[in-house]
Parts: sequence; C-alpha cells; structure tokens
Amino acid sequence: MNLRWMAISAALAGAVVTAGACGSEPEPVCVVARAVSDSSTGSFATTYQLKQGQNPDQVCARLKPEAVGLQKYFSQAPEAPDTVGVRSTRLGQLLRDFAKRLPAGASDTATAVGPFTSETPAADHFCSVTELTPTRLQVPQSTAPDGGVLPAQDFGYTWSNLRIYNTPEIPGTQYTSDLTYTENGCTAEYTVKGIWPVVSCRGSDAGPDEARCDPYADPDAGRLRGSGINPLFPVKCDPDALICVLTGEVPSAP
Amino acid sequence: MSRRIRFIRGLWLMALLWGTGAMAQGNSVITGTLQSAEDKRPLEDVVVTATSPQLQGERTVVTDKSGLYRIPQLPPGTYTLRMEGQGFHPFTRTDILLRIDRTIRFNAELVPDAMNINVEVVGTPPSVDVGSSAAGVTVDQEFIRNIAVIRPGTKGSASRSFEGLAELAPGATEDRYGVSISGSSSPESQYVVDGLSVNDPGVGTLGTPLSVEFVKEVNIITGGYMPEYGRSTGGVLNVLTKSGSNEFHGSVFANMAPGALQTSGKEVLREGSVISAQGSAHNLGDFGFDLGGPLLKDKLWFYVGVAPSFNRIQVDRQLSTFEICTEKDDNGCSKAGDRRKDLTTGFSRATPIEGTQVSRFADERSVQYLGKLTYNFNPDHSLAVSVFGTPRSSGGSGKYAFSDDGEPEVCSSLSCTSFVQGAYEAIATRRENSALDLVAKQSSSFFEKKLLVDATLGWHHQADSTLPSDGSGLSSGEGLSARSNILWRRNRNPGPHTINEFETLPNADACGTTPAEQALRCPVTAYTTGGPGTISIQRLDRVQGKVMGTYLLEALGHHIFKAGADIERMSFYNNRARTGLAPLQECTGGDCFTSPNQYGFLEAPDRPVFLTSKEGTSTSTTVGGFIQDSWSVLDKVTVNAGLRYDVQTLYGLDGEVGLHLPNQWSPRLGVIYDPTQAGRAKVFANYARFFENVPLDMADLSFPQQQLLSATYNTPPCTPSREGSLLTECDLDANRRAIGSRESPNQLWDAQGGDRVPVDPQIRAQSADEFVLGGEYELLASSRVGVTYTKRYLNDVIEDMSRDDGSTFFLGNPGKGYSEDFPLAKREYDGVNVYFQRAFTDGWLAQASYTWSNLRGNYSGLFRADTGQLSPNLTRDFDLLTLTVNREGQLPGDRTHSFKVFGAKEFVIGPRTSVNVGGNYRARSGSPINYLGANPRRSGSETFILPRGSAGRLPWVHGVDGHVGLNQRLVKDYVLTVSLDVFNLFNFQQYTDVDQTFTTSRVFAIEQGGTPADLSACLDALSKDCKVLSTTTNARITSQEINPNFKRPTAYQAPRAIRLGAKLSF
Repeated sequence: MNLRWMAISAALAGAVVTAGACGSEPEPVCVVARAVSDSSTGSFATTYQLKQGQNPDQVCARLKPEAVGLQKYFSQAPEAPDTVGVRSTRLGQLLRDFAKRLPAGASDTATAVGPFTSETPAADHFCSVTELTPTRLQVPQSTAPDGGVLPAQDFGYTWSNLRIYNTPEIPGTQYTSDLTYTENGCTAEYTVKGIWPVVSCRGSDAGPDEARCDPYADPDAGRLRGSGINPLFPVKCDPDALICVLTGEVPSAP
Repeated sequence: MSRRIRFIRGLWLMALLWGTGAMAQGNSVITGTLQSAEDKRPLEDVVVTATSPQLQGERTVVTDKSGLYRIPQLPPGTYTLRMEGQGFHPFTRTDILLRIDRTIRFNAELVPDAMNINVEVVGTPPSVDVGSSAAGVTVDQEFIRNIAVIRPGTKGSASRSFEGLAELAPGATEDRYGVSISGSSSPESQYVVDGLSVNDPGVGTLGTPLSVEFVKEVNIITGGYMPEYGRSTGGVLNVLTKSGSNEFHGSVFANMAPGALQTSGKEVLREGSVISAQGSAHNLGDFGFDLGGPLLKDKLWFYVGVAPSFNRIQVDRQLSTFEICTEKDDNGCSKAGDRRKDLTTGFSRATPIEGTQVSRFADERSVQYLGKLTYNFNPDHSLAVSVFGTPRSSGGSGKYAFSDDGEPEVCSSLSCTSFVQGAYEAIATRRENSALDLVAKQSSSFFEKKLLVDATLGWHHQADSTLPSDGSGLSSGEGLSARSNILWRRNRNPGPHTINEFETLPNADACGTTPAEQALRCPVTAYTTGGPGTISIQRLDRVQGKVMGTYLLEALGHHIFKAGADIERMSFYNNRARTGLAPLQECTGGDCFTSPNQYGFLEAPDRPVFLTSKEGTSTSTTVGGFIQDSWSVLDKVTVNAGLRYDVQTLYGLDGEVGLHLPNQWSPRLGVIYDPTQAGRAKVFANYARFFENVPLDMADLSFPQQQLLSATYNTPPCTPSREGSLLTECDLDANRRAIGSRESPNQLWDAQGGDRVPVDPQIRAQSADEFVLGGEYELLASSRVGVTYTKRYLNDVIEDMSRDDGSTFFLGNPGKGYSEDFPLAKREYDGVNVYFQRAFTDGWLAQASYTWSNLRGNYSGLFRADTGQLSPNLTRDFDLLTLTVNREGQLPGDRTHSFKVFGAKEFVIGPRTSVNVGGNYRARSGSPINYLGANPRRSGSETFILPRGSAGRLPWVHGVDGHVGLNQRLVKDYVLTVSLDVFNLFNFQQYTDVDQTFTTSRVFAIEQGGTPADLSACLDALSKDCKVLSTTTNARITSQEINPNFKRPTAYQAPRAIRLGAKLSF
C-alpha cells in the first residue's frame, strides 16, 4: 500500500465527511408567549394608545390597560402557516355579562385569528400577522325581568398588523398591534402594545404598589422574589388597572 | 437528508481505502534503553524481539543511536523480551506483565562476549507506566478469579457486567445509574469496548453491559488522560475483549446466586399503608461457554462466547387494614376514632388481611454473546473485528419488568410499597433493552515502527421498548394500549376511596360493614387503574470512525507525535404514546378529572388535533481532532502536550439545528519525571480540560418541545369508572370545564409546546478542568505505592431554565450570558488518593487505597442525585429561580473518607489442586443530609429549608466480602474450578438513607442566616423561635406539620449475598 496514496485518500475522505458534518447555528422560531390557563402565569399586560386626530371623549375612545391573551395555533398541513389567536379581557367580560342574551355560537368567533406571514422572524426580529378575523358581539334587544327594555348592544374588535418580537432575550414576550374598536356605532383606532406576563401591582391598601413591578428581589424589604418581568422592560404600575405596564416602546432591546 | 448520505459515503471511502491491510489490536508499548554492562555506553543496532501467548507472531525492533528501542501496538499480556546484539551475550527477560494502554520501560545491560557471564545483571520487570500521568486501576481475569466482584442485585449483576468493576478504582463510588468517578455522575463517563464507545446515545449511561467472562482487561481511568480520549467529563472505562491465542482454550461455566442462600434485608419501618409490598431475591445467575484458538497459527485467531443470564425477584404484595380506636388505652390509642399506633415507632399500625397476599416475579432474561477474529497480515499490519451484543427483555404476562437502575420497576432497594399502589395492569410493563455492537480496528506500522496508524470503525445499536404487559404494543388500539391510565386521588367529598372499590377481598367485611367504616380502616389516597400510561419504542444508533497516526522523531530527546481525527454520529428514534391517548387524574375534591398531558395541539381556538403518538428522530454529529506530543526532554523528563478540538451539533425532530456547540478546545499539559530513570518511579503533574458530549434525550424533548394538551372534565357526567364513559361523556366539550381566564383565546384547552426551545446565543459547551499531581514508586517487585491529588471543577454547565414559572424554557449556562440572574452552576471536587497496588504474581495480589475527597456545589451532574431524575442537561436543578435557593453545599455524592483493601493468595495443596482465597474490606463515610420541605410551585420535596447538607451526615458503611475457589486439575489441561463468593460476610445492616423531608407543607426556604435550631424550635408548639413559614398561610408551621418520619432510615445496606460458581476450562 503506497503511503502517499493512503495519505491522499485519508485527506479526501476526511474532507468529504467534515464538509457535511460541521453544523450551523440554530434558526430562530416564532414563539408566542401563552395566555393564562388554570391559574398559571401568562397573558400580556396591554396598553391602548388612541391614534392621532380622534376625539378622546367618545365612548369607544376610553379603553383601559388590561390583560390580552395570545396563543399560537399549529396548522396540520406543513405548507399552511401557523396562526395566532387574540382576545382581550374586556371581550371575555362582555361575553360573560351578556351570556344569556347572546345567540348560541357567539363565543365560537370571539377569538380573532390570523396567519403568520412567515415561519421565522423577519430581519427586524418581528413575527408578523397582518390580518386577523374581526370579532363582532351583537347582543340583541331583550326584556328585563322587571319588564323594562334592554337595548341592543354592538361591540367589535378588529386587530391588524400584529407584530410579536422574537429574540432569545425577548422570546415572544412583547408585541405591538393596531386595533379598530367599535362600540354601538362609535369607532376608534388604537396603537396597542403589550408585555408578558401580567403581574398584579395591587398593594395591600388596594392602591398601586410600584415595588411589585420590580424585577429584582429585595430580601431586606421582605420581597423574596422579583416580579418575573424581563429586567429589560421599563415598567410602571398603572393606577387604574393595577397591573405592571410598559412605559417605553417595543422592542425594549435590539 | 443529503448531509447524512455524504457522511456515510465519507466513512465508507475511508474504510475501503484503508481496509485491505490486515490489522491487529493493541495500544500498549514496551520501551527502554540498552547499554553495555562493561562501560555503560548505549548500544545501537541491537535486535529486540517480543513474544507472548497473546501476540500473533513476534515483533522485532532495533535500538537507535541512543540505545532506545520501542515496541508499540502490543496487546496486553505477559511478554518475553529477547535482546541480541553483535558481540554480546543474548539476554532474555520473561514475565514482563503488560497491561492495556500502558507504556512499560524496561532497561537492560548486555554483557559483552568477552566478559564472564557471572556479572550480575539485575532485572526484575518494572511495573510503573512512565509514559502517562493517567490515574486509575486495571482489572484483569486474575483479579476477577480471586476477588468477589459484582454483588448480586446490583445493576447488571445477573449478567455480571463489567461496569460493576469500576467501583474498585480509588476515587470511584457506586451511584444510582452506574459508577461515579472523581465526583462526576455516571452518565458523564465514557465506556469504550474494543475502541468503540458503547454509551447509550440517549442518556449517556452504559449501553452494552457485557459480561466480564468475555473481557480480558478493563482499564478504569479516573483522570489525567490524554486527548485521544475526548468527550468525557467523568472517567473512562476502556475494555479489551478476549482474542484467542495460538492454542485452543475455552471454558464452560455457570454462576448462581440462589434465593435460598440470600439473607433478607432489614425491613424499613414506615407509616402503615393499606397496600404494601416487599421484594426478595429469588434466583439470579448466568451460564455459558467460550472458546478461542487459532484458525491459522500466528495468523488468524478466533474467539467466541455465549452466556445467557436470568434474574428473578419475588415481589409480595399485601393488603392490610388500620385499626380504629374505640377508646383511649395504653396500647397506642390516644383517643377514640384515631388509628392505633405502634408505641415504639409512632407509626399507625396496619394489620394484614388474610388471603390478600399476591406474589409476582420480576423477571429478566438476557443473552450475552461475543465473536471476534484477529488477523495478523504481517508483523506490521493487523486487524481485529468483533461483534458482541446483549439482548435483554423483562416483564410481561403477570410479571414485573426491571428498570434502568437494575431494580424491579416497582421496587427501590427491594422496598416496593410506594410503587404498587394500583392494579397490576396499570403499573407493570414489558421491556426490552437490546444492544448490538460491531467494531473493526486496524493497527499498521511503517518505516520500522517509526510511523504507526490506528483506525477504528464501529457501530453501536440499541433497541429499547417499554410496552404494556399484555403485549398489545404501542398503538394497536387494542388491549392495555387503548386503556387510559387513571389516577384516583380524591381526599374529600366525602374522603379517600377505599380498597373495596378497586379490589375484591376474600372476606368482604374485612375492612368493615359500612362505607364509612371502610373509609376509615382501608383508605387508599392514590390508586391507579387502566393501562400503564406512557409507553415507548426507541432505537438508538452510534456510528463512530477514528483514525490516529503516531510518528517518532528524535530532536533534543525523543518525540512521540500523535495526531488523530474522529467522527461520531448518533441518532435517537423515539416513538412515545400514552395508553388510551389521554391519562386522567382525579381532582382531590372528587368533582373533576384532569387529563394533564395528552399528545396533541390546537389548530384553532379550542379545536384540538390529537396525536396517537409522538414520533421522531433526533441526531447529533460530533467531529473532533487532536494533536499531541510526548517529548522525552534529553531523555530525562517527559513533557506531554496536546490540544483537542471538538464541535457538536444536535438536530431536532424536524431535522433542523437545535444546538450548535463549536469551539471546544481542550488543552492538555503534563510533566512526568522518573527519578530512577529505570521505570521504577515517577513524579507527575497534569492539567486537562474535558468537554461533555451532550446525549440526545435533550434534543428529543427540546427540539421541538412536546406538544401537550390538557383539559378538565366535570364529574359527573364524566365517570371513568363506568365502562364507555371515557369515550362518550369524557370527550364532550359540554363536559369540559372552562379553565381559561376571560382573556384566554382558548377556554377549554390548555396547549403547550411545539416550538424549539430557544438557545442563548452565547451558550458554551459543558466542560470541566482537572489538575492532577502525584507520584508513584515501585516498592517491591510488581508492587507500586503512590499518592495523587486531583482537583476537578466544572466551567460551564448546559441546563434548561425558565423565567415564567415553568411554562417556557430556554437553554443556556446558568449564571452566564443571558441567564446572569440565575446562580452559577458549580461542582468542585478535591481528592487525595493514597494507594498500594500489586498485580497477581508469585501467587498473591494486594491492593489498598484511601481516598479523602470533598465534593461541593449546586449541580450533581447529568442526573439529579437528590431524586434520581435521569435527564441529561434538562434536570430540574435550574428550572426556576425559586428552586435554586439553598442548593449550594456538599453534594449527595460527597464521601469524605473511603477505604478499599483487596487481598488474595493462591495455596497449592497438591500436585493437581490449589485453592484461591480472596477478600476485601470497604468502608466509606456517609453522604450529607438535607432539610427539605414541599415547594408551592413544584411537586415533591423541592424546597431546601436550610443550605444543602445542613442536617448532618449519614453514618459510615463497612463491608467485608470473601471469595474461595478450589481448582482441581483433571485430565490433560482441563481444570475444574468451584467457587463461593460471599458479599457482606458479616451482614452489616447500617442504614444508608433517611427521610429528609422535614415537612410536607409548602414552606419558604430560610434564605439568610438560618440554623438547625430555627427548625427544631418548631417541634415545640409554644416556641416563637420557629422560623419555618408556610407559603399558604405565611405563618409559622405547627408541630403537627412536621414529618414524624424525618431522619428515620428509608434504606439499609444490602444484606449478605452468596454466589456459587463452577467452571471447567481447558
């Protein structure tokens, strides 16, 4: 066996194998942090910002910060895109308030659903869902037990341009969106942003307690745990909703 | 999968081009210098010939200018060296014992022809390995023949797997899944048989438990090894199988540990239970034959062996009833309505119900086989091909199976009560764990052994399955595979279930006549029915190719350059299902059932898609290379320097990259000085870095995460006890509870998983650094004494962590990169080893060692020593920040002192008869004890109330084992040996574990400045010094919440065991 021939063949074989064997970095995926289920941690603490040029005194222009639930759904067909569902606390509360008056099947379409535009985040690290199914709660007129008339009600949520930020440091725990909200004929447009998870900052005196939004523990002050919110997110305690909400813009880090 | 095809093609290319040369195996070396006895000048051109019964043919080399000769690539054995130089008397030295992986230096002086042969030439064969600073011990057949090894009842003991020998090395102790070396966990070590790594590709434990009967030598390397051995942060067990020789030799053997001769262990006293069970050893043994010899003398040798083995443990299950007091009395009744208690232990007394004892066997059957061919093409090229395997199956048809830790699936140290709380069908499984290995190794040399090339190509295959006991398979839709596992655990409304609801008692009134009375006397708080739950079929493969070249060079002394490359590809096919698709758990209030983890996903709000099973293959490719130089500086001091590079990439079930770990640079540096310059002593220092090869279980569970669905059903109408209800009422949306909040997009279903676990981009591969300092000296012929100091610490650890209470996880290095808010993962080991070793020569052997060690940190390794969770790089250790409190301290594997003494002697009592007597004594101090409590966020005792190890230590454990063997030579070469092994001769029954749960209430950890006094104060109901606070009430716990069983023994030392053996060899 010729030594030179063996050396060449070894190098050849080695190159063939090595070329195929050295891997690459993992690709990012579109993660959506989940909603609360069975008393778990979850859901996005969301704030609504009325877009420029609208009358803030309208009845539909006064949405308060609240928890909004997002959930990723997987498609059975490999080519079909995965989807995202969105629902706000206000909508869930309306469903309960008018449960007896709503037609059967109203809750089936209560969650707005829309497809991802791509499987992986774009270059700006956002996973986009441009269009979602509109949600409409049409409560028919009915009579109260005492004979009075309960007027019809009409609420509508149309979410669009939902963008969920995805990096290893912020894995689907921040989003922005547009919202067209209608209430009994009134229409308002909002810019929405949310952070995950929802943390209550209700103090022992039923007022806001900023310390509960602190991501760091303070054993001397009796606070053994941080809030669980990513330390990169600047937050404050909203005095009305008593949950920790974002004070800055999305994303909180590049 | 073009990547895979290219890879396979490359390997075949290599094999074809190399493979025409014949090969032989062996990587030991005899080296030395020859000088003239007259004027001490070095002798050039002296012909040195090595022969041995274990060597095909003979090997010849010639000394160089400095008088140095080097004979490499030798298989271990007993050698004769013959030296012939022009003008000198020939010199022959016999009985040079060469072990696996060793370099022995044998210097000699040749007497010139002119001189008188009366000049004394002293030369007893040296035994110190002067080529390396590797620490460890070699165990050969002589040792196994003389000392009682592999205790019956331990992992792999029925087949007498070689893994049981690792415990003999200083610095090694038994752990749950194998042997822990220098403070590491057993899955971190490398198990190599004939050059092929036989670790389980999924979890890293030993994949092929090959019988010691087929093993020639096992080298247990505990530290200081060179870059040829990469990818292990523990130790290396290097096994060489038997090869045959120029004469036909073989044996027929049988070993048995009969149940009748085993002593039953001390029973663990515990709180009475309606269902209890105890295991007892029944029969365990193996038998078989082996044969080796020449097909062509000095050219082609063969070796073949087969050894079936069996293991049977009897599990006796008993039903009992509590006695309820009618009034206060002095015999254990504190008031009417309470259970009668045992006065000495304080536990409730449970009286066995007659006629309810059921005995079942836990049965395991296995066959070990080995076939090997060794072909010597010419003295420069040789090839060895071996095929070996260990197919194994257990359980099924009314029996229990054995689990990974070598115990029946329902027992832990033969105590089975905790695991038999349910119907047989819901608990028992049928298991298979088969391994098959194929290895080819080539050794070639060129230019008069100046250039050596060794190449190895191997394939390790495992087929494992855990299936229902009735043989219904994985997803046939019939039998137990279609029945959900149901856990009944109501404890109120009205109270726990009673045994009468699930099992028929021979006397229907044994527990009472009214349901209320039955609930008091025979309550069952957790009972499972239905199918066994999670079942799986797995296939694991490893294909490995290695090539190494050695080049000898002279420049300011002698250099031995080595360079090598190796490629390894692992794959893990896992098909997992739940019997009946959805397991169910009763809510404690009795008004609902939850299906916690059904395989499936949501495709739209509350629209589930169920998966009958989770099936997929994850793979890993590791490429590595190294260069090293062993430089004998001016032939006085040896400097070993080397560098190894590895890169590992794990691919998930979707074929995409899940984890990429490049830049695994492992430097090695060592210095060895032989003060005698004659191979009789050495002083050394060594630094090395090692990297972990991540097993695939992590990829299977993380890339992507399992898609799981969970829902809660109202009861009634969903009534799992009623036939058919599972398929009707329990499958209707109308009966599902709304578990979502107002804002949850899905109200009825909880869905998790589906995405790949994100990885911190700054993640670094798991690695450990090691410093070894030591010295060794040959005290008497063939006897060495030595001291070593080892320091090992982990640099980076890969683990999964969660910032959101366990809903989503990410992979990173705790304490670094993205997870700086998590504590740093640490494990530090310091050990001092003092030892004396003498191999079996002149009729006796002796080994003694004392190890002082200290193991501390917050990470025990690839399995959690606290709970036994075997989940490499995915354990619960760093899951949540709240779980990491007080976890740092002395780890469970910490044993401060360890003594091991072995001795054996052969007595010749007649011309044809001899007796081997051997014994050993082992003693070790105990591991640390913790104060544990329940955790609000996780099940089990996961809160460390005080820092790890605060509750003291377990006691010392001593054991004496003995071996007696009678050898009778019959006709010609036939020898009959009858032997008796006794383990734990004096039946010491020290307790080896205690209940460490201080309270089962959910409590806060005392994070700063806590002392044991803060806990013992809670025993006093009036004391205000109790600092243990409940997380539910935020108040001090009451004395009733303290576990009455705290610090009471939960396991005892294994009792006396006896094994008989018989062997006819020729």
